[in-house]
Amino acid sequence: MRVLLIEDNLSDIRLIERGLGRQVKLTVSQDGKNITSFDYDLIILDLNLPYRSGFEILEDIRTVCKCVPIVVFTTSSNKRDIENCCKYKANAYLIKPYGYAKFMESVKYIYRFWVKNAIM
Amino acid sequence: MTVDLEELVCALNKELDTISYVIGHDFQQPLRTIKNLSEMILEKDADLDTLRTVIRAADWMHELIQSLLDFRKLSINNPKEVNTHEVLELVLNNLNFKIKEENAGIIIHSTLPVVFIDEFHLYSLFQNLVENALKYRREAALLIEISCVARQDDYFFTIEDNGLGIEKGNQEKIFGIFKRFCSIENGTGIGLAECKRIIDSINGSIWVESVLGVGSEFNFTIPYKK
Repeated sequence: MRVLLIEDNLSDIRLIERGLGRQVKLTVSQDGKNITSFDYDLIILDLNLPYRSGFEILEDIRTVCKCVPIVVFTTSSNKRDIENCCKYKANAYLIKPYGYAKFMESVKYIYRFWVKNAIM
Repeated sequence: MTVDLEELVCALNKELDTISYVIGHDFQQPLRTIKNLSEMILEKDADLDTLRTVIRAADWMHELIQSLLDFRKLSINNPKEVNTHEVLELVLNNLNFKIKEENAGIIIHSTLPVVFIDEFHLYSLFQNLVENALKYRREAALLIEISCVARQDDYFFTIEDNGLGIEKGNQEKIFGIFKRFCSIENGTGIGLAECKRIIDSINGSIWVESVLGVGSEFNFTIPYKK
């Protein structure tokens, strides 16, 4: 199972890596630049990124690859952000919760729903 | 308002929205990092008491930012006919745990009217005032009394408690943002500023009559729909 994580926050990267576990081959891009292929089983995407916004990256991915599942995982609960992600056909939108236990619960949810189900 | 002034207000509001967005995202991120990693370390070593203090400080900052964002949200104003009784019920349900914990008595003295106001604003108003009464209490059994009288031009609401009370010199100041005059309980100092902003926006009045060590009476008026 190959997952691409586009996320700039080091602590979030560390926690997501830990939550997904060793079964997942995780590739991390901290700015969404220099991604040569979107050939992954899942993409986890943050919105607030340096250089380019998550929306631009989402649009790019959907231009070349309609079927890879994309889970937007962000701190934003802004209605416009959610609507934009729907517009660009993200498969899920999860808000990063405040606090370690809740954050890990969300990552486990991503794992159960998008990774484990895909493996089974 | 002249067109220029309206444009200026619009521009300022947009700027405030941008600032709110930045506070909501960029300011929260380092806090989340402090909180998440501290809790992760604490999971391995539960004896690190100093780390708990770090987490408490992060939580406190998180709450301050949330309150500030809620304060900004009050600029959205969609007034309609709202049943005060139903909104108060919602607030009391929401505070049910705290009410039981404090073993507080709540008495609603009159039939509460339908008023013309934004529903979220009315909810915030009651939430802040009842929550304050629950927070700033004395040892004695806590009693909160809520009443409303229909007057010539407005509804006159009173929320009375037998809590700590407020010194005379501070009674006007407490409605300012980030103003706190009691160290007993955690408070952001935003709640009463929110109440004042809500009531000012409908051209009503809000004030407190209080005696230190005896209790407080928070009064506010909601004008009739014109």
